[in-house]
Amino acid sequence: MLATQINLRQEQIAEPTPDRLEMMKGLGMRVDNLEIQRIFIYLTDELNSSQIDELRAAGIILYLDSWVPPVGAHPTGFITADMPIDQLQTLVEKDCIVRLDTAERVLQPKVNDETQLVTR
Amino acid sequence: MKIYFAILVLLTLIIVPVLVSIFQTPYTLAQEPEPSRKVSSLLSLQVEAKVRAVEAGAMPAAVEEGYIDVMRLIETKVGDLNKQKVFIHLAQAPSLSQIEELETMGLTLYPNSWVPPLKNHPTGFIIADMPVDKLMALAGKGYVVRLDTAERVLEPQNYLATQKINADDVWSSGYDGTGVKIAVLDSGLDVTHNDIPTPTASWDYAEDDDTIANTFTGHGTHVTGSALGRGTQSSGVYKGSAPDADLTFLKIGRDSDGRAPTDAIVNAMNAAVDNYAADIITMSYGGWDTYHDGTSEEAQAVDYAVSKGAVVFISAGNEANDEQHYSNTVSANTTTDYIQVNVTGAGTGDKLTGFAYNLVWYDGTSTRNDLELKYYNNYQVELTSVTSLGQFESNRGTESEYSHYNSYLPTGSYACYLKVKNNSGNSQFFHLYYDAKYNYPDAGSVTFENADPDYTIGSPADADSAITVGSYTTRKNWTDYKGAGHYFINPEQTVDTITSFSSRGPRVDTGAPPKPNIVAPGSAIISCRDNDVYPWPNPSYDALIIDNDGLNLNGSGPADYYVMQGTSMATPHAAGVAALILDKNPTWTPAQVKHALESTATDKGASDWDNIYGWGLIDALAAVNSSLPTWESYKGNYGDSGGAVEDYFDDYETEHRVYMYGTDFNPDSTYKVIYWDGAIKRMVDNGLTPSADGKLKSSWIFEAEQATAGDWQVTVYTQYANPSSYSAADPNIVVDDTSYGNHAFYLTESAIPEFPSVLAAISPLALCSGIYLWMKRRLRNNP
Repeated sequence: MLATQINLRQEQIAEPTPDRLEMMKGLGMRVDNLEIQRIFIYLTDELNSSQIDELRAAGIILYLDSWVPPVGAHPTGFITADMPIDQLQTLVEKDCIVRLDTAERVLQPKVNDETQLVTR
Repeated sequence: MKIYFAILVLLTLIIVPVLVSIFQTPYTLAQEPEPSRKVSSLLSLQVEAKVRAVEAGAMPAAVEEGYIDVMRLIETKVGDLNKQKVFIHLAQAPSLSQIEELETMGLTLYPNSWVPPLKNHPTGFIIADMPVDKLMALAGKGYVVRLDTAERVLEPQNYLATQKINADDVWSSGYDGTGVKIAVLDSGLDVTHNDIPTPTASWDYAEDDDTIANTFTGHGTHVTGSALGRGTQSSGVYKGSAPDADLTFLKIGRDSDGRAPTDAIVNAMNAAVDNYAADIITMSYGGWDTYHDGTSEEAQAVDYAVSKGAVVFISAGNEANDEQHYSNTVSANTTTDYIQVNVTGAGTGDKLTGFAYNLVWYDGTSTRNDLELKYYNNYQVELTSVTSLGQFESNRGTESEYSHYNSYLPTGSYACYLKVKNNSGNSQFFHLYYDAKYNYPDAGSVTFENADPDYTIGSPADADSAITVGSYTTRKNWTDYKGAGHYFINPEQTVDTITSFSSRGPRVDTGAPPKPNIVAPGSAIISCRDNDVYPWPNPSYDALIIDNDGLNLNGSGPADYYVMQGTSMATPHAAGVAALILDKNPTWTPAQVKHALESTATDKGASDWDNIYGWGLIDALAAVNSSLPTWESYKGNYGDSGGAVEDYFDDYETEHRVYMYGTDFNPDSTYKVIYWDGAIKRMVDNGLTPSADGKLKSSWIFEAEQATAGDWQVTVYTQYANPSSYSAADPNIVVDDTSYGNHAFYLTESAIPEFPSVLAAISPLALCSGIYLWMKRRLRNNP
């Protein structure tokens, strides 16, 4: 999903189309700045100060309060961050990072508003 | 001539009495009944209650002595205890002299209220105010045919939701959620609605500001009302299930479209426990994620909140009948037959589709079976412009491979096809999820021809420790504030069964906690109307607006309620019930609350848990009155080693482990281990192969609420012989579980119901000496 979204951003920057933009919105993507992707960074432990400095130097904006620790059957924790899309490979190569995922999914309210209504 | 005359006379004798009977409209009693027989039982009760209240010293004393409760039960008004509004049934409209006579008795008649006799109603009636001490005198009048109360109130129907789950019975026993803090994570809130309590805390996590008003959907206000609405505007009729609980409202819906970004959900979920100390969290949002196995970020945030002590309720989803999930098995090194996909309503001109499917399969963490999805057009010609995003595995062993066809397909309606190719040497059960989000605009809707409604639970409803709530139909019709009746179709629901759209379990991964957990009322639910989003009148949604008191349905209102349906509506009802439980049992843990809800739910569908109803329809009264489970079987058995024995699930942990370990099994055989909870087969651990030195292990990690107290058993079978081929008296089958400590019990042969012949063949003594079942708390972070 993260790869798809970054790919869509790159395509939209190179060749903007209204249909693609609508699809990106439908996917829950933030389209106000196509260069930036919000992500979840998975880690085994909370980031230490040197790791934070390292990521910030790469242009990553970290939301430190968002840390969710490993719990139960979840072996890793994660933190929310904004990443310049050209820094994906930089992050992937960091040893401390276990996995990256998009934070630009949206969930729907589970009201069933697609059913038709009949008047008796 | 005489003959004609005779016929005429005969006809006259036959026809005239018939005509007389037809046109004789006044109703006549064959025999005057006793006056007391003319009085309806409800009217008698109401009048008696009022007389007793007056004798006891009018209203204050009546309240003290409980008479008002009596009157509430019989639906009477208590405004003027000396008067009773009645319907006087008469054969015909009262004459002037009769009116004068009744007024002399102190009655106030409303002449304009006269309703005459009709075809199937032999009497008419008039409304009157009657002094309560004149009941028998009025009944004694010869022209009075019948007397009935005019002080019944017709409920506008929504109370069915709380009544159906017995929440109202809990309120009357003194538990209404007082002191319990419910955090509602939703689209936004109309804080001006008088039913909604002022939040003790609030924040907008989607827009990162302090404005929580809805701008797009009134979903959040409706949901909040179902959990803890006070019922102020409806004189208590439309209360939430915990009408005195405290509210923390955390907005997660975007102002632009009401949808909730996952980072906002994660932040709000964290804050609910870390910043606001919520006892209960309810969130009626969801969607399909990558793996469908509870590993998404929002699912982890749910598990984190539960680990911090909150009971978390999540809506199961409304995808059961969307026909966008397909499942099947593909044999090793083969390809499936064509899987038909129906496209309807694709717009004009060949459309850029963006077709995207998520191929999902569970093969465990130690195996990476290789599957791929192939695309075919309406002529079953393979499409080549397919992009696969590669195969990824969750940390629980679920595989996911997104792929999409990003080119042009015909317009209109047509079928196209898919196939799943298995490149591995193992047969594999798989799932296909179509996700409309990937479709380009105007590319039509897509459904599977042979869709599977199972495995449609969303995320984070699939979180291990979430209480996942499906929708049960308690009512399908309603009357709007203008008096028009309505119901939903496509499909029309059936009362007292699952609501057809309610998403179904199980999760895709083996050994997952059962989902959904419970069901609660979610169809045609009436709750608070958000005036920011749904101001009235408005022809586009007037049919969904509900009058406050259900009287005078002429569109004049006031009408502060609204109809919605979905698992969204079921979830807050269940969350409110949890607040009632915590009101009575404030020290209970999330696991204990969950157990109380599940163990007392009214079983629906297949016996015990099933993937449609979960454990059944919640029963607030039974849950509140339930007690903690005991585990007597821990006591005195092997492995206790003199340590403390716990009688119930501990205070802070939700997971337990059943474990068996033995040696000297045949390395060339395949075994299966069945875990029994009393009469119920809880889990089958199949296809077990001993290690080369003959050691066989099996374990099952489960949550407290998945099991019940009492004796547990385990049986071991081989692939080739049944019962197991190892020697029953083999002394080499030993216990090796010292690291798991205290809680263990051995097997008994007495309560394994499905295999009596098998059991007869196995010596109980040998079983006791041969196989030991270990149960041990699984320490958090140290599984």
